[in-house]
Amino acid sequence: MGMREYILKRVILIIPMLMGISFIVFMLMYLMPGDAVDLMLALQPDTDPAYVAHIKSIYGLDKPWYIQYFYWLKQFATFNLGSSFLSGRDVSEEIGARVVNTLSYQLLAVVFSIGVAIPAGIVSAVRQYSKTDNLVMTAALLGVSFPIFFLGLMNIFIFALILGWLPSGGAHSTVFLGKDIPHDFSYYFDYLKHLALPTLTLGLASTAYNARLVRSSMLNVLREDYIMTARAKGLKERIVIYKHALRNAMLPVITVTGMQIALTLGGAPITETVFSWPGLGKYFVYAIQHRDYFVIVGITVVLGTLILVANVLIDISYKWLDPRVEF
Amino acid sequence: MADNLLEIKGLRTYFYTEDGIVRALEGIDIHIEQGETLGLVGESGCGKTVTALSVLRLVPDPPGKIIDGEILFEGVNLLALSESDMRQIRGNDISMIFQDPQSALNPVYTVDNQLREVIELHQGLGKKEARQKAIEMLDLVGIPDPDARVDDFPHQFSGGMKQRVMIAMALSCNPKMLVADEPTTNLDVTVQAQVLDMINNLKRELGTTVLLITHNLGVIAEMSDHVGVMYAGRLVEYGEVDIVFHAPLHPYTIALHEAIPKVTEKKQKLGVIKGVVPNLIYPPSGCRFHPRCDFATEVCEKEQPNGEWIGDHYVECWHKREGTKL
Ligand SMILES: Nc1ncnc2c1ncn2[C@@H]1O[C@H](COP(=O)(O)OP(=O)(O)OP(=O)(O)O)[C@@H](O)[C@H]1O
Ligand SMILES: [Mg+2]
Repeated sequence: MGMREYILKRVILIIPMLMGISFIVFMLMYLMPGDAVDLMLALQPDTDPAYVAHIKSIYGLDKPWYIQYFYWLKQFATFNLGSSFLSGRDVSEEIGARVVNTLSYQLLAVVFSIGVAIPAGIVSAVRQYSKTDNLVMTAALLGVSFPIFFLGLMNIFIFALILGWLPSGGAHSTVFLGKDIPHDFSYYFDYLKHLALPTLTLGLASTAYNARLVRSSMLNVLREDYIMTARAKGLKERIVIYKHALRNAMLPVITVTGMQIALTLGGAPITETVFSWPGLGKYFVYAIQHRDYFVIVGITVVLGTLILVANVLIDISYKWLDPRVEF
Repeated sequence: MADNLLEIKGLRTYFYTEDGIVRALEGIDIHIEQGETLGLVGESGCGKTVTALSVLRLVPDPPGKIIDGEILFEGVNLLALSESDMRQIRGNDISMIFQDPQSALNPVYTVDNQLREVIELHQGLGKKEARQKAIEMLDLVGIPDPDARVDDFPHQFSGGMKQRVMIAMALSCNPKMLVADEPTTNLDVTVQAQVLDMINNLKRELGTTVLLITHNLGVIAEMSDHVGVMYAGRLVEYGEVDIVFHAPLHPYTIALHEAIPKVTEKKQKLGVIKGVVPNLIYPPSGCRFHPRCDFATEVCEKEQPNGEWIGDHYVECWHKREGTKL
């Protein structure tokens, strides 16, 4: 199968997968007690039941969940994600306003993690059991031992409270909130400063893991016969490592990075809650708390699509690195 | 003595492992004459590969270290060279091919890439000329349609073809010496003969000196001028192939011969000698072969035998078997 057929097949496969996850999310949502209307009226217990029923019927909330799912699916077929019970705005609009915030720190975290883990892992492997190796591996062990919210709080404590270098939460300083803010350099610089801690926290966790992975993968590859062949040719050690070993050692790293994308995107609610970061993860938590059904499904579908697309990209880069791979 | 291309003197290579010091080579003296093929035989674990790797200074360090000796190549002690001078020799003056062609080529680069690399490095050719040279080399080792195959990846070749690619790579800078570590052990019997023939022909054509390592005495008989018999990190017998094979002096050489059926078709493991190859962390005292030797006496247990030259024939044994006819 060629690359084009492969990509086409994967893209087509996205459709049944999205139908599957949205179905499961619907089922789970309706297992939760109460709906959006119940919650909104929770403080007014004496509201006229007939009025409540009327409101619910407007939103279709009086129907069984699978019927509601069916309606949602029909809408979804026209790329319409419905509208939020709470804000009344289109779900796609609400998501559009936040998705960049989520992608920004998530992508930066991957870049940070790979960018630090590869050199650290290589140095560790090439100087196995040296002081540098011990240092890197001890740091990595600490990194993988802490849960993300703990790393997050530590980072806030150190960089925001003690050192005061970085803001502890949010995406913008208050001067940049509100209407008619010029999107100039100072605006983006302020955003980058806010971006630093979420990126660092998420990045550190996977850096630790990836550095260990790069090291062990590199150690395995360095034992391979073709490394001996490369040395026997008279190549410089630098070329042996960076040309012959690294590319092979990257293969498992790529695979794992693919799986990490699903994990870290799935962890967005925690990361964003710790940093009050206005992205999809925090919004997701809010939507669940308020039973904003279409928002919940909408975010699930968007995150699901992102994960699937990321995995296709990972597969393509794997194929590009390893000619033996056949799709 | 004729012109020696390579002379190994008193070579000791040890591995410092967690379990102890593996005395893999315990003082080896060996020489290879210009233009000849020297066969090196011995059971698994006796130090053949370590000898080859020591010559190229590619013993994995850690845990391995060459702790003593001299390796003279054209009179120059390789062990005294700087790493960068040594790199000029590897792949250029001395190249090596390995036992398992399946894993000796890098799976993620094309044959063109891997051949050009060594040609560009040592011959200073540009990309185009190097590619042309790579194609010529593939043609020389009998790969059909080399113009197209040069762009293939290793996994697109069969085992025998891969070994041919390895040989093309090793010979592409016209080295003075080729070290072939069991080049055919992992190949089909029919392919084995073809590859050996090819090495033999190329060697004659290009005048390359060959150090051929193998388990297989038949291969040595066919290919080599001289043969060295190794046992547990020592060279126990050395001489012209005809002499060592028909009038051997060392009990181990005799046992090796008796361990092969006379009409051999299949690759033969040399495991029929009683006992096993000793652990090289705690090698036997005296002559390292004495626990397995039918002729061993007290002196064998106590003292390392002195090597003895009888003309061009070397043996290291207290009770050499003069008059043996095989
Ligand atoms: N990297 C290493 N670490 C520790 N010991 C090693 C290492 N490489 C080789 N040795 C030891 O050195 C000794 C000689 O090994 P060598 O590979 O030279 O044997 P060989 O004669 O080539 O055997 P074979 O026929 O199986 O290839 C063995 O005892 C082996 O255990
Ligand atoms: Mg070997």
